[in-house]
Amino acid sequence: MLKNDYFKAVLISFLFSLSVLVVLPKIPVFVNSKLYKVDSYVGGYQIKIGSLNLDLSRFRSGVDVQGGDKIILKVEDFEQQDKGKYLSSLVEVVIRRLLLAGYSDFSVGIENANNGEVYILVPEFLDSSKISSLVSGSGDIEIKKLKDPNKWSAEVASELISEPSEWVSTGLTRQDIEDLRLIRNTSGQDQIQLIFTPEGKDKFKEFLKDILNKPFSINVNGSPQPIAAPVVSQSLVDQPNLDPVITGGFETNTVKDYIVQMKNPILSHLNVSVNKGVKAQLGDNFLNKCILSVLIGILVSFVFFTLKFKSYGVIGSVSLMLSLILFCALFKVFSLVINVFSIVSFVIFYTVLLEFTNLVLLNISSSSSSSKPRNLAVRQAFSVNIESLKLILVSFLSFAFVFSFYVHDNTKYFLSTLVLGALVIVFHYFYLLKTFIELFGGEDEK
Amino acid sequence: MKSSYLADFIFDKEVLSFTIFSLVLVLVYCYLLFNKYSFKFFIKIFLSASLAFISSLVLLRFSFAFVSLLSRGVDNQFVIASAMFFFLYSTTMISRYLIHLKNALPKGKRTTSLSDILSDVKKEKRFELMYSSSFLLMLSLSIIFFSNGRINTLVILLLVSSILSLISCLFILPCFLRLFEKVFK
Repeated sequence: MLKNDYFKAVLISFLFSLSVLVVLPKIPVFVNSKLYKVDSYVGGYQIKIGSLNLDLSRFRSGVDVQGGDKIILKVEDFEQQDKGKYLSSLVEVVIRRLLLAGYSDFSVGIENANNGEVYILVPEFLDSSKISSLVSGSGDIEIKKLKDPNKWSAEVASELISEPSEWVSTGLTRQDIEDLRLIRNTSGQDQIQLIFTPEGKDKFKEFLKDILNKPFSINVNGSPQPIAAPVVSQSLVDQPNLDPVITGGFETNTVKDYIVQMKNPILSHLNVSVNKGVKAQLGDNFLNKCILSVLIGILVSFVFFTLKFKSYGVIGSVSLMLSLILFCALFKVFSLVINVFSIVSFVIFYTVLLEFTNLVLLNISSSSSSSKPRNLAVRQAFSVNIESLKLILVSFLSFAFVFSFYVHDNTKYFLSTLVLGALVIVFHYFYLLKTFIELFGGEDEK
Repeated sequence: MKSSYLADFIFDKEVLSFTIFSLVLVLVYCYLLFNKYSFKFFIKIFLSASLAFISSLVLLRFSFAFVSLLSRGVDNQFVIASAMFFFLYSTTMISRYLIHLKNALPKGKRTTSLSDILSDVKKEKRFELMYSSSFLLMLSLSIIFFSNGRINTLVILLLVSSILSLISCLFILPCFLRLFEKVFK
């Protein structure tokens, strides 16, 4: 083998090992012998790179194939005139909230129109309790002050903040606040900016005078616990016309969720219940059956190649297997969801992968019978199909690009799986299969 | 998806946009492959490819309605997924046929008679073999799925879509090419 060939072989081995580690679930490794002790695990890693948290512990599956949790929102005292219309608008608000908060793998609908019930189906990999609090919050806000501001001191601060009976309303509510923004200062710190209406600003100025160096609290969604309790500074008292900015002392994610709730308010009070472990919409065994059938299909194609092309068939099968593992690893890394659409997209990807491997092997075997030099036959076998492959890749990528702006919900996984498949096809055809045939396809007869 | 929806399948907003996009793709393929040939020749190929695609789409609509009738309504996402599969697979097949056709055309001529080439293309067994492998996967999928109540519908729809894609490029497209060869004489 040439130096270049060694490099290619090492690169492929490295990629293969890496892909296997990504695809594997968490497997504990426990050895307790006299010589050495091991208590570790392989696969299912959770990698943190900066703010990015890569969870490789499992493949993500949609509610349709794997089931999940069902959140029921029941409208309290539901006696609306037009029940259907009211619930439809509630469904719209819930969908808007979830989309704005960055969720996409859910379905929302009316559970029981007479009882005023709306359901949200969420897959297992999403936190249903977090979603429950996001969708059920009314979007209300209230600013409170201490009942006895003289009690305030640094020593008793946390005790006072967590005690609801110590706080009284200032009369500043949702009607007085035009907007609440999350901004970032020059040193990279998150800040809350309160923007009052003119009437709200007057009320705020009024109570500000009495609480210099004392806190006020911001309570949202009727909760007795504040999301922030900032201390009023001298600069704010001196310039009361400025919009107050709060630095630190709050959970950024809680504020983000509240901003979504504030912009999409719900007028009624909602009771929330969560049913854990709801069955898959397409039946309990859908995913298992699907994986089994795909594995059988892959095995059949390997047998077909081996019987038809002998040693070249084995090479083709091995390179197909490596490409599939690489595809699965990328699927997991990009956190794509297994659902009906991604399964169908996988079938297209594998079919094209199979066809082009078949075409190359067919060309090589027909060239071998015409006693062409092997290197020339391999080169020709790959070059003859390039035009066809290019057109298919163009259609895959343009299809995905155009419809990524158009399609919604779970359909987008069809397109993302397609793009991933196109990348793997390019790698398989131009690098993996070619290298394998060059390395293991045998030498020219001298 | 219930049968009532299937009746509007062709004119469904999503399906219609997929159809238009697929036709644009076919136009791009034809331009990339046959831009050196005469305009009449180019139109002949493009019209045949587009009509082959549209005819198989009509067949697909009837097949889906038939499957829906047999299985008393088909899940909405099954139909959309299978339709997306069909659009991609059938445009892929058509592009492959057109490349095959282009390779069979005599070099250096701007106009040529298609009727001589079409019989050569038909004789080319390799072209048909290219697709045999794809059927293996589909077949095994169906064997497993057929035993599982509701899920088999998805496999039937995918199978119907792939068979229609094959029919559109192996039978309907050559028929249209022959027809337009006579019409544009």
